[in-house]
Amino acid sequence: MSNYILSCCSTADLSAEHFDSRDIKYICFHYTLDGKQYFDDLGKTMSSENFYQAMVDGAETKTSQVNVDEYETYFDSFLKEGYDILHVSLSGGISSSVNSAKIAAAEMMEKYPERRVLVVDSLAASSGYGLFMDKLADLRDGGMTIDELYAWAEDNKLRMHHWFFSTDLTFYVKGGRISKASGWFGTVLKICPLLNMDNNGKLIPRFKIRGKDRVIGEIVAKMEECADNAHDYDGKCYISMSACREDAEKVAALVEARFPKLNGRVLINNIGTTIGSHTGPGTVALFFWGKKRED
Amino acid sequence: MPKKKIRIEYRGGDGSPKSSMEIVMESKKDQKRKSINGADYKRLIINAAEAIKKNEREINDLNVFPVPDGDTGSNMSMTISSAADDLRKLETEELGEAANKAASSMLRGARGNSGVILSLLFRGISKSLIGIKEADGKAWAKALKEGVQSAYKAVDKPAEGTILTVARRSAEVAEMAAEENNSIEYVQEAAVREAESALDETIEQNPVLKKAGVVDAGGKGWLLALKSMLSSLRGKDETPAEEDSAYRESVVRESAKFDDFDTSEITFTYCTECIIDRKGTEPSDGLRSALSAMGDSLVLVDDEETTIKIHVHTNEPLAALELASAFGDFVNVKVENMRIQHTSKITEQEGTAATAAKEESAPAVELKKYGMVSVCTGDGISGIFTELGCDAIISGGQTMNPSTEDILKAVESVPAEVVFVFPNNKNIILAAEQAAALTEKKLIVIPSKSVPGGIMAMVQFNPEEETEENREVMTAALDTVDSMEVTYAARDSSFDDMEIKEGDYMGMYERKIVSCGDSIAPVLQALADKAVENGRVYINIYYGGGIDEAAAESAAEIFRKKVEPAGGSVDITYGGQPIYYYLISAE
Repeated sequence: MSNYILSCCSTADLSAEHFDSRDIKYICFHYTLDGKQYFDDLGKTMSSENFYQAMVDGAETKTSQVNVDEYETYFDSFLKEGYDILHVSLSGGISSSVNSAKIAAAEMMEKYPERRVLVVDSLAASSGYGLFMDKLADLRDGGMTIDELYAWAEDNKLRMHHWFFSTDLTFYVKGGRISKASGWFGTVLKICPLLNMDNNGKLIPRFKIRGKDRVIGEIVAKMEECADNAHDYDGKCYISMSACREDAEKVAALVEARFPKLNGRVLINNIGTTIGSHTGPGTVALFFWGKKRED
Repeated sequence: MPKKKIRIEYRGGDGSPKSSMEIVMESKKDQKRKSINGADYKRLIINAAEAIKKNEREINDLNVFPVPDGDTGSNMSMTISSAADDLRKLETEELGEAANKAASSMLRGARGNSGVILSLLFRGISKSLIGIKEADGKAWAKALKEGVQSAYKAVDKPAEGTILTVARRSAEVAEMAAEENNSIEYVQEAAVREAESALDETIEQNPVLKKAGVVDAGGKGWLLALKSMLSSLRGKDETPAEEDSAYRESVVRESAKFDDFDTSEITFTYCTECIIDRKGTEPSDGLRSALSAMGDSLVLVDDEETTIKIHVHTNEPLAALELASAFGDFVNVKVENMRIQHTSKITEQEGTAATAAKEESAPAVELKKYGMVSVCTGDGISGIFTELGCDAIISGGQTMNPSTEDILKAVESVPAEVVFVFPNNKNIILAAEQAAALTEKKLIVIPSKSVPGGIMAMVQFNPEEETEENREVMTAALDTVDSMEVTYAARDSSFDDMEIKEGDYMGMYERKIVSCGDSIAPVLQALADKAVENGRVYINIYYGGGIDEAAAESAAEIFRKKVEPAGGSVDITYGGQPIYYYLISAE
């Protein structure tokens, strides 16, 4: 049993059971839906289906990050029990919550001079962030100290690859993630942009693919190109999706067929309400380990 | 050849006629027209424009494909008419000035490949005549030759059996004729004779023409121009062509509307001239190409020993002079603002009101990095291009090829530093490339030959990428898609053992007719077969203005049956284009 807490945010998009079974603590983001505030609590208060349906029906969603005060309270709960904390945050490229975490960490270390709170910017999101946490839990269980694990996390975070596509860009445009005039938006031609996360943890549209079938083929081709050991990839592979399980299952089936040495089956998660507020329904994201992301 | 009858009478001593004989004398060289000045040239061009206009339909009918498409005769007629219209307003005796006016009007008014080549022939002619008051046979032959050189330069892979061949051969013979007799009429006669036989031979030179048994349409246009200029030299002007308005209307059904083109626009502001006292004998080729990239109307005369004379219209006179100064000291420098010269001319003619409006400078607009301009017709197709990020649409393509000027105007209207132009038609690419030389913006032509090709290329545009990268990726995308069209035959024709009747459905794959008949289903089937045969299984059908969705759906069904077993898919999209029932892309 380690003497430190491994922690992340709800935006790592794993199920509550998954976090509990791996002994990963998490702090919840929040969002408002039509003016009412909810916790991004992995589907406990509102199911993923209901959430996306509400978006499609025109509900206004707004997300808010975890503020310093909340972090302090959250960290305090572990520190007072005598634990150190390794907190890994949602990519600073898409949220500033990592700054709040760092401020809170500094405050808390003043309050508990004996304790340590280390914060890592994961430069990851959704179940890619989740897959990263899952690996950290393995290493912790394998006996790494908090410092060793911190160093490993910093060294390896860019090895987590995120590729994703959307068959419905409405909410990307609405949220300003993709500009309508930039040419990435092509509903008439059924253009599905294929995006990834760059080395600054930002989402970058990379390719425009016409039609869902082809983009499904293309995202798996990206995994063939980027994954460790190519077809001999033997790590885990996660998918997250927003109200489009069928598409996600097609990607999963293709991955399982192409990568026979995969560690377990492909795990399909829901894109949670925080990330989902920006993607809307129709996004499928694929995560795996590869060489460091360079751009 | 003009002939003269002379009657000789022999009379007796009393004066009464004894006998008489009539002899016919061929006019000798002294009776031929020696030279022409600016006023004559003006008549020549107007005459040529009238002749081509009168024969527009005849030239159009030489187009091999019975496709209701941008026609050679109409394109040439509109191109040369733009010069005739401007010349009518010009009063000058100076040949160089008239020729320059004609050339610059045509350059901007050029439509279609044949129009662009025609404009380049006249551009070369005008370059050769710069500063010349009158041209005799030798000067004219030299001008014809320079015209040919300028046209050949613009075409990547000049094909024989085209207008280029006709122009080249007639110019070669004109040059020889001028050595024999330095009268312009004699030279022109020789040019016309050679053009006639060169035109006849085009049938044999080009396999496509041979199959169809016709001469080259553009070559025919050039012959007509030469011939009518000859008549004009002989004092016989064409009667003005009566506008066959019904015909023109039928050709220009979906024409672009760009009526307000101001032909007096000046692209390059400064007329820049200098004389250099040469320091060495270093060749000036590099200087020539650098200057020609900076502007137009470049004349560079280099005796390779003592003096270089330069004349160029440019927006960067200081840079031009600096380049020139590397070759020695200035003897003389002159820079004139042609806009001011020009404005004062207009002021004299039209009064100040119009001028004041022109003088108003455009408000400063912040330029974005990239812009895109596309040529197409159909509200659906235009909508797709717009959604893909296209800034300006030039209406045209199928029935009306936009002119260089149309493209230029669209490009100028886009507030961007780099503008990508998608011609979407083989016959518009040259005009678009010509526009690149006339704008200060960086204009990059993505040589799309079809609407589906243009769409696929534009899909690949990435605003985050570098210019060159975008150019490469978009150009490469053109090869990833095959284009099909279903239209109707504009006239009876036979092609590749196919008897095509006017009004038949006609299916084309990559611009080649693969099927025709009075029922559309077999035509679509033949295209679907061809697509799968070529390994293209992702199909997008853009249905035209006259097609309802149900019909489009049944067309899609034909394709689905064929491509789905091959792992492909079929989408249908409203295109709204005229003339083409279906435009189909296959990836």
